[in-house]
Amino acid sequence: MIIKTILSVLAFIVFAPFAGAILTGITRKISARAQGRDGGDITQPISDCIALLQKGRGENSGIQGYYVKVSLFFNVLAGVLFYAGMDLLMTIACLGLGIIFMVIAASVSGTYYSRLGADRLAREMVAAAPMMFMVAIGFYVRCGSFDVKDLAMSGPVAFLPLLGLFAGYMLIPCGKLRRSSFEYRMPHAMYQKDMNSIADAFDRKDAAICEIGSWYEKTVLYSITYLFFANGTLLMTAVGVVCTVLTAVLQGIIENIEPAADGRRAFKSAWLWAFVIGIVNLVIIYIII
Amino acid sequence: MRSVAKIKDRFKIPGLKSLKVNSNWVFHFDGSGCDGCNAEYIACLSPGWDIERLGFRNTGNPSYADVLLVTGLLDEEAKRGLIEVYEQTRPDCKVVAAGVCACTGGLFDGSKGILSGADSVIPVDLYVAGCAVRPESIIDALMEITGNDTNKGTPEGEETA
Repeated sequence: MIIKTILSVLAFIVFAPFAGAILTGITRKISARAQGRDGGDITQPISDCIALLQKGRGENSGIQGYYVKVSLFFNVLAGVLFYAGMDLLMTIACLGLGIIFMVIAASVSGTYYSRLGADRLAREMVAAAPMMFMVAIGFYVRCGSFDVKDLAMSGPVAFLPLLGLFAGYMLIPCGKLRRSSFEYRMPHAMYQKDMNSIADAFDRKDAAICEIGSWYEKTVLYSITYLFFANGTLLMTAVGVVCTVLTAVLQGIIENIEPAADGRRAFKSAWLWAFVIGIVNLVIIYIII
Repeated sequence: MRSVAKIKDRFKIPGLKSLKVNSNWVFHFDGSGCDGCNAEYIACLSPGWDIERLGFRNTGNPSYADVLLVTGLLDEEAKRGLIEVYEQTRPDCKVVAAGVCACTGGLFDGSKGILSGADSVIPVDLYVAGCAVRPESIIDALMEITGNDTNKGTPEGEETA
């Protein structure tokens, strides 16, 4: 059991950035096709990141580099806790800490656009936080445990009973808020040529680390999506993986056909969804089960 | 760190720097003028030409750039900006002057306050002629200067000059 846990944690640490990068590449490809372009390869984000790393450290590395690395650490830690089968709440808290350190890094780096990006990221986190915790509570009510190993291996499939929470989780933290001129971390759309948002004043290496951190975070977020379908059987594992990839594709499409939500609207809709649909969903499954 | 280097030597693991990746970052600097060459570069990003499929990527940070693309007329105001941008680029960042105004000053060369092209301010590696410069010429120049030999044909619906 311990060896299996260690192997899954190691597999996460090694393969998660690639999975996140490929998902980013798929989103970029969908984005390009939606605009009538061919777009780059789906491995292009990896090439971009390697190209940045190859350019080495520049002269403008400051204290923000430290915060970026701490943010990466918490994103990796979130995944390690998740794949070690530990508490889902701890995973969500670690993701939150990763975002907080990214906000601090962008705030201290000192340019106007990075502060704007930090401001947006902080608001996004506040908007998404209730839904994230609501999802964890939903899993607890449905399966009777916060531990990922119980949810993934032995719990009943939570997708249908938690449909309201699933929709909220898909649309709120991963979907609509991220799409804007001051996009989360590094923008991937070609027309966003002058704005690098949070990574605006980051050193080359720090920007690459920031990007890798976002891939880890993305993998953890989609792993939580997978939990909605998992019950430990081989069939549901396959269904879960396919549905998670489909969800990522669907999010890419939603991001392209829907306009960006401004901060206030995003905040209102996210909290409204969390506290109305989320609580109604919880009450329904509490009564039924 | 020394032991890591030893392991790399022992098992002949290629270093990160020796990996060949198809990713070229372009920083675009537009001076003043009619804005035609600026619009033509923006057209390179559009569905008609789409340089993203060739591995090019725009950046707003000069220190990330592989290519500094200069378009438009340069006056004293733009000169200050261009020098500031050039000082932030890496030593091996290439400079491309696109359009006749950026190459020589064009029709406006010798006018009061107008400089004779980008090479009167910073060293230029490649000149691209045209008024306004065609997107195909810009793409050719970018591929030439970065050694990018991707051949993906022409995107759907491309208009040829």
